[in-house]
Amino acid sequence: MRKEKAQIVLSIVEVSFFVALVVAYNFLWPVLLFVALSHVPAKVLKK
Amino acid sequence: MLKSIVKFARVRIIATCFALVFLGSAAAGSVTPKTILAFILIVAFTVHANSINDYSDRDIDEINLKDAHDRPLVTKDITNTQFWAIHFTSGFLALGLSIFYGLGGVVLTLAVLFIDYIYSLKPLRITDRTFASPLLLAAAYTYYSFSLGFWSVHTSTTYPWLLTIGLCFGFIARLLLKDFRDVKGDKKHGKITFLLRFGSKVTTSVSGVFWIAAMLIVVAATSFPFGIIIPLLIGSVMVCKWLLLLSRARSITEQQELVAIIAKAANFAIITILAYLLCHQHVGLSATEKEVIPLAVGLVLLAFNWLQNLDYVKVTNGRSN
Repeated sequence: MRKEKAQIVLSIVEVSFFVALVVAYNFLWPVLLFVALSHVPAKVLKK
Repeated sequence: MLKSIVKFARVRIIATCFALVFLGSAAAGSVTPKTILAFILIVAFTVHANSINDYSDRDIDEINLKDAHDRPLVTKDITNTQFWAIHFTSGFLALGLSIFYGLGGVVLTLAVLFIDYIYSLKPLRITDRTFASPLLLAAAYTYYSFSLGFWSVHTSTTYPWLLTIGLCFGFIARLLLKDFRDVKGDKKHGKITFLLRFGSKVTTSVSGVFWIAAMLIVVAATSFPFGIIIPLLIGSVMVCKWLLLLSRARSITEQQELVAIIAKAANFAIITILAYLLCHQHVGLSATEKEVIPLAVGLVLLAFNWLQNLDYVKVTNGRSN
């Protein structure tokens, strides 16, 4: 459970970094899209 | 039925293919509405390819993937009529949309739809061929996705063949690992994959060689920028370490987890290259920013990939020592 929570926090921090990059350099949105897509949890895909 | 279409589409394959579309468009100089339209084309092509592959492999999948929820033919979620309706509609949709990418787009779409059949169906059934299978699949997915992206932009830029070849090598490295979860059924049905013929040590070693070759070619194709060299070098070291763990892993769960970690690293490499190309094409950036932004993107992705898998790698290390 602790590990799962830590992973969620890490993902949020990671995506936030890219959101900040996209805001600063607005042409970087394709990069953000793939960071978000690569974080689709396996559980969601299995359903 | 919609659920089955989504299952045939395989979100992760689409994400990787669409990353390649973006790479193609970034290499051509910009992102246009046709780049976004390529998303639908890629989904249609993937549904067409996976549906016929699932159909031909349904007996093998019933052994390998009996608990998998992403195989509608195994879980019997759709009827035969619905299956063929999905398959042919996706094929025609892909062909119809390819008109927007010129004659090259139409010819290439016809070629990949044809490859879908010779890959999965007899008499050729390339999926059963040890060497031809990963080579053809990687070439088709990489060249098709990248070209759609490149052709979505009106440009006078020369087609970046070297970059495409590098990406194709990376795809081969990834595809060599896809058969780890299928060993049981493949063996029973006489499907001699690379893994079955040469074992896990050789397969992971060859995958590593392709991975390193891919990274070297990509670095050469992008004219040796620091923003790419450093993250790709560190990423390659991490991937080699995971490949070593994979060669020693015994349980299917362990193998699948490691393959997933390596696949994620591959996606992150694509994102780093994408960040570099986008920065490189952007006129408003200084030379330093063009190097620092992809470097930061690559290093952050690697750091998070490492942190997210830290516990798992520690445990596996302990088991294999």
